Amino acid sequence: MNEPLDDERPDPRLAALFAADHSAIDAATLSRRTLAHLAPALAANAQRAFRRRVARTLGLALLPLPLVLAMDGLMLGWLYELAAAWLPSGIAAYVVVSYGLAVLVGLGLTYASIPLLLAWRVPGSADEVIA
Amino acid sequence: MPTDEGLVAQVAAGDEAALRELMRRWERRLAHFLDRHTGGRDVEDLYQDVWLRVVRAADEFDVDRRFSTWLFQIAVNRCRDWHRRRPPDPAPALDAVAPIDGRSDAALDVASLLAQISEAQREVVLLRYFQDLSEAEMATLLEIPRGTVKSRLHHAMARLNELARDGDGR
Repeated sequence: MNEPLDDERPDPRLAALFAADHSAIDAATLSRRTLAHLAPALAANAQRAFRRRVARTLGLALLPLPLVLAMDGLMLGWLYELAAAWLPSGIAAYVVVSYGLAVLVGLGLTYASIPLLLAWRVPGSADEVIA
Repeated sequence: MPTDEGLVAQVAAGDEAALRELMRRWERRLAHFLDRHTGGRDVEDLYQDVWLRVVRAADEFDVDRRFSTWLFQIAVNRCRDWHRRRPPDPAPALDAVAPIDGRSDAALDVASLLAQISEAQREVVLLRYFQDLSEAEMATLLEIPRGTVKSRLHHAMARLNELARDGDGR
C-alpha cells in the first residue's frame, strides 16, 4: 500500500469503516451479463485484427512479386528460344504461353489462398496461455 | 500467467477468454468503485459501458501503461459523464439511512460519508484508499497536478475524519 501522509491518514474509526466496507453488488453476475453485451464488440475486434493480419501478410508476400515476375519473364524468354530451336515457332509459342498462363494462375492462387489460410488458423485463445 | 496488459492485447484481437479473465481480475474493484462513486445508482449500466470502452479501445491501449490506471481512468470519465447527465441526488438524511439489500452498517456508513464530500474529493479517496493508487498515478489518471491531488485528498480526509468522529456517518 502506498503510505499516505499523516494529514491524509484516516483516523482509527474511519480506517475501520474503510476496512470493513464492501459493495453489495454481485460483480460476478454483472460480469456475466456484461460479457453477453460485449459479444458484438469482441467480434468487431476479431474482424479488425483479421483484416490487419491479412493486409500485413499480403503486403509482405507482394514484396518479392516484381522479382518473381521478372525471373518468370526471363525464363519464358529462354524457354521460347529453347522450344523454337526444336519445334515450329507456332507450337513453341503455344508451349511458352501455356506455361506462362500456368505460372500466372499458380501465383494468383497462392496469393488468394493467403486470407483463407489465415482464417483457417484459429487464433490462440487466452485459455491456452492462462492454463 | 499473462499480465493484464497482455490480456488487453488479446482482447484487441477479439479473444473472449482473455476478456473474461480480465473481468474476473477487476470486477470487484471496479464494481465497488462505481457503486461508491454513484451512490449505487446505474452501476450496471456504467459497468457495461466501462468494459465496452475497454473492448473498443483495446487496440489503442499503450502497453507501457498499467491496465489498472487505464481502466479507472475510463471509469472516472464515465462516472463524471454520469454525474453531469444526471443532477446529483441530495445526500440522504443520515438518520433515515437504514440497512437495506443486505448491506452492512459499515457499507452504509462509508456510502453515506462519501455522499457528503464533493465528487472530485470522492474520486481521490476511492482511488487512494480502495484502489491503492499512488498520488502520481492519480495525477496521471485524473489529469491534474500532484499538488491538486494532495490538496483534494487532504481536504477530503479532514472532512471524512471529522464526520466519522462526530458519528455523522451513522
